[in-house]
Amino acid sequence: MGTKLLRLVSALFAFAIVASACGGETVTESASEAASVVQDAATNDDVVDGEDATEDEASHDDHEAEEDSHAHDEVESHEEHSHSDVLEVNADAAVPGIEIELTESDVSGVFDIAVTLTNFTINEEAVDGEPVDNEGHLHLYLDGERVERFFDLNHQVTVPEGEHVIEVELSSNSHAPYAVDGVPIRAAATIVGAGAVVEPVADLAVAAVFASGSVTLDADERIEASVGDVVTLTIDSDVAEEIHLHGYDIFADVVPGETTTMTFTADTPGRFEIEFETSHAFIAELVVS
Amino acid sequence: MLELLIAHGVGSRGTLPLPWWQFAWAAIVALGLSFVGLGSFWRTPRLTAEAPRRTISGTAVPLTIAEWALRIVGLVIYGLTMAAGLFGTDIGGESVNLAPVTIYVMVWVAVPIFSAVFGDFWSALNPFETIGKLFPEIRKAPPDHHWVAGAMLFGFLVLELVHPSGDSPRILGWGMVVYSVVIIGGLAMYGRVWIERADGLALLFRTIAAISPFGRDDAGNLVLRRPMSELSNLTVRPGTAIAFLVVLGGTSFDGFSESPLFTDIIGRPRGWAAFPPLLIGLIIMIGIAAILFWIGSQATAKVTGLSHQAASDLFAPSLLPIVWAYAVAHYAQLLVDQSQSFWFRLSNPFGNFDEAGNPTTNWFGAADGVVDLNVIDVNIIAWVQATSIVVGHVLAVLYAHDLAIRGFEHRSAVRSQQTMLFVMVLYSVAGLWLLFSA
Repeated sequence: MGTKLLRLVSALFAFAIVASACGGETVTESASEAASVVQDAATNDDVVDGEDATEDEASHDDHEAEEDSHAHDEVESHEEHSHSDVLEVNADAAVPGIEIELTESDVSGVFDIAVTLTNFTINEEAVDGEPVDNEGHLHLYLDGERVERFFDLNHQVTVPEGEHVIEVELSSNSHAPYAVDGVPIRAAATIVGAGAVVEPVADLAVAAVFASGSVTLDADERIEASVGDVVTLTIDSDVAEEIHLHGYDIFADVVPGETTTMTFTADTPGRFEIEFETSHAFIAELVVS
Repeated sequence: MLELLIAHGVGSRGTLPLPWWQFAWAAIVALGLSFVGLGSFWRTPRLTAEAPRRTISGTAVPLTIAEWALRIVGLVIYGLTMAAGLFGTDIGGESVNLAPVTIYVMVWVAVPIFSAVFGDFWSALNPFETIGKLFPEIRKAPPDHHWVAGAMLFGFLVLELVHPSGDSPRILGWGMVVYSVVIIGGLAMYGRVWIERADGLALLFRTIAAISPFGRDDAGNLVLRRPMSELSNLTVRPGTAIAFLVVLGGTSFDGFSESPLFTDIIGRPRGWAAFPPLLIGLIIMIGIAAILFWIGSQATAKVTGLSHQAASDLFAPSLLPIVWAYAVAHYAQLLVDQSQSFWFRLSNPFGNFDEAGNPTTNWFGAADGVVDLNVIDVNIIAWVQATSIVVGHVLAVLYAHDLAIRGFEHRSAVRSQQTMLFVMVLYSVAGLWLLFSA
């Protein structure tokens, strides 16, 4: 028995050492993964409730306004933006003017720009052509950086989270801004963006249908996700319900006849139940590892 | 946002399945150590009640002060928990109430896990021990068995794992009333000795605490002893082994009932429809644990010439390290997550909120706390789980070996142990498999 047993034991131990060595590598790898993911742990819920936009209008002669401590009224120093190749408004022509009004649209982070022009005509056809008095197009600036040209009086701009200055400039066909005494004619407004919600590309999408008290899933009822995955769950239900993802404690109201989408980042490892809160009907088990 | 409960007891997160390599690692180490150990362990008993102990004199006074502080804490939490259960918010199964987290996490999980390390602090926290001070030591000879204690533990497990509203504060409040009536009624009838017979939780925790190297002598001084040597002082009565097997089977069932295999078998019944299959499952798991133990002790009886009863009584305490390991392996994650919740609930024990959703009481300013699920990395938890099974297994094997060589000479001791060792290997591998297949 002696030698045989000894051989068996040493074989087992060799195997054990190999197994634990493999294991050691795996654990370091996933540990660092987990650590990096924790950083961007914010769920989408946190982002949706942004602040209302704060708007201010500024007309072209605002450059005379003194530096105001109130951030929202602040007009960017024109020197930064002054182009050497401005186009002085012809002394014979009426001085064109622009006003803008910004309102936050239904989409978070996207603002509607309503432009009011005086003595100015937008001519999309003539772009890149010779300058014509009181004619041209509009240039959009975000925080002093030129973003685009546009030709409509109702435009949209998407801004990142935080406070931003939007400026719209009257541009001649040759792209030289109209100016009075070397100062470009612009309207400015300061807004506070709630941050654009960029629909995340789901790493994992599962659809569930709740009809006559039973749940049908288009996937295995054990949803296996990796830490950091963006998971989207869409639910159609024939009754009003509330979905609850335990642990993450994400809730979503379900309205009959409408498709409810729940999107979240699976940043906490573990096994979590997803169920209907009222009927306690089981939807799926989320396994994040 | 409130932390919610799931079907089994408390907790919003299930532990991840153990990775297969960790399963293999733990199983191989446990097996390997068992084989190496068999035969090469020490040849004289070292873990008997007579094993050397060191008394630290002068510790009686501070320990007695600490004991009474714990008694007060225990009584206060007992009263608060029962009141919260009976009169507090009882909606849905939301654990805004103190009762579920106290009972299922602090008492059921934290106390046994820490008892194995720090010793029998439950005898001070246990409100019935304190209430028992009002009664004489013995009034009338109590029945000489642990069946009542075993039944109490079984009842507890049925409430935790089978009852559809086992997480409801109201149900738990009434459960506490029933438990208290049995214990305090018995105290009045038999005197303090009744606690030793009938208080299942105390029996379990006291026995697990015997693994610990810390104890107290009659004068109240701190005693340092060899780990597990106190197990030999355990009074084994009819039903003692069964009481431990109930817990072992119950913890296994808790793991098994969360595995996909189980849902393949019974589906996902909810509410009372789940009661019969869960109850049967619990009983089957306890049955399997008991049959394995019966086979082990039967074989020991054959080899050694002991009666089966004597062999089973002799080896019953060696189950405790395995019971402890199962508790750590299954509930480590729950303990880390939900012990935070205990503190939050303690600030607003009844779970009452005003119309604006603010807690009506906030004693420690923590009522709005939210459990941080990332306190400890899940990989560490996985290591704790796998390692605890190995440690529990090794402790059980060591103790069983020590028991075997007490009565018999080495050769027959080893033979007497073989089957029991095999049973323990089965327990440990099954425990690991449950973690692996969760």
